[in-house]
Amino acid sequence: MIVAALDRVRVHGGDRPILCEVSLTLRQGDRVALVGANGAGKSTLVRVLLGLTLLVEGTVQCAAGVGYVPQAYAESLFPWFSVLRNVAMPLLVAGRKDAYDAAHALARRILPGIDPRRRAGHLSGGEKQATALARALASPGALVVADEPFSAISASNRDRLRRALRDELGDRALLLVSHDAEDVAELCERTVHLSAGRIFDGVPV
Amino acid sequence: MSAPGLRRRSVARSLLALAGAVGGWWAVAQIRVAGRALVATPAATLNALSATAPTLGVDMAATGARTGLGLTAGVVAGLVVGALAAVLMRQTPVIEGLLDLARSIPPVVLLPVCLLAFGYNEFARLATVAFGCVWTVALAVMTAASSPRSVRREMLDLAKATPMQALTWTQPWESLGVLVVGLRTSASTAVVVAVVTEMIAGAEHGLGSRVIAAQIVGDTPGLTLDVLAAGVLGYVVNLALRILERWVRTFEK
Repeated sequence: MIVAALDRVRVHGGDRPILCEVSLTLRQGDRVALVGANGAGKSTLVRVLLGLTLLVEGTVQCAAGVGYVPQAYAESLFPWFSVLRNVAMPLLVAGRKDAYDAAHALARRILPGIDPRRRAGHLSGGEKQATALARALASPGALVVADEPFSAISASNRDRLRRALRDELGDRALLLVSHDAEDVAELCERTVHLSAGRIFDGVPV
Repeated sequence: MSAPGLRRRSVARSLLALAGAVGGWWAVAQIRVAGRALVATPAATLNALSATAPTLGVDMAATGARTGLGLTAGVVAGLVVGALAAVLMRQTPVIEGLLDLARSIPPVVLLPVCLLAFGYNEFARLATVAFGCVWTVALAVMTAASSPRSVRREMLDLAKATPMQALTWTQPWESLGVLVVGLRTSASTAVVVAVVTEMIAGAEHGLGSRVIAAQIVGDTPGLTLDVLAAGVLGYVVNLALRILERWVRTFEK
């Protein structure tokens, strides 16, 4: 089952093309790493896929309820709410009656050292990123998109969170943007290279 | 240096600065213009305080109440006007310019208009104070409402949140900073306008009336005391709002 697809997508930033004729398909259970140099267009591709950036040309299709860890993870949290409410957000929006119970269980597994009653604004950078990851995993959709999800996580917590991400994904697809070869090797089966707005798909990890 | 040592040094410097300020005040009080002192000495002002403390308290309370009521009315009206302007501005960008123009009108020049409209009564004074606050708050609301879409808003859009969910999860909190700045600016304006209104239109009680009365009889110590009291009132209002701001924004580190 296809959970997300880009077909001949073009995006311009001013007079400069950011993405040129990019096509990509993600199926259920896929573990895909999106790699490339800084400014190659990785975050733009993710935003296009999620419908957050307008296209110039091409088509985009994406399943509902995607879990997303943005690069600006700290700004994506709701600092005025508790960690628990942040994690529960996708489930609350989806109208799930057990939103808080499910979020609490997830927080216990992914954020063992963090009191779920703490306000998200009072967390450290690494704790915020882990909370954003937990929230993405709480999302009910068939796809998780994570843009540099471990950039602020300490080395000691990285392994644990990688394992948690792998375990919690189930049969959902993962699109991981990362510069870290270890993240890619541990979590992904396929690598997509993005260079100067063009995609080179299918490189095995 | 240890923390207690730093604190002792800081207290000593503050006391020194306070003594310097009183010394400066005393020096200014020695200046004579046309045979009269510009301001009373600290000692004479203290004497005036001990002689008039009860009535000064009543007048400060009256000005404080006028400031508070006018500010409240202005803030409520500003929230409504700002919300309407934010909605209208998407189609009519000139709205922002019009609000800025309204804010540029010195509030006290509206006092004659209010006196003509409502008569020489409390309502005219309060309306003038409210007028001084409404535009600043309205502009703050409009700025908050037209701020770029935040990452949080995008997360809610991705989760397919309803517009009402998206609004209540983000807007009141994200707007807090701009609104608090607007509120504090309005509060400072409210104190100034309340005092000036009492000076121009007169009032049974109020710091502005005291200032004018002291000036008419040439009571320099009383005048100095009243000027300081107006400063204290403004300071207290500002301090109260800073405490409120800190309390409201406890979610920030």
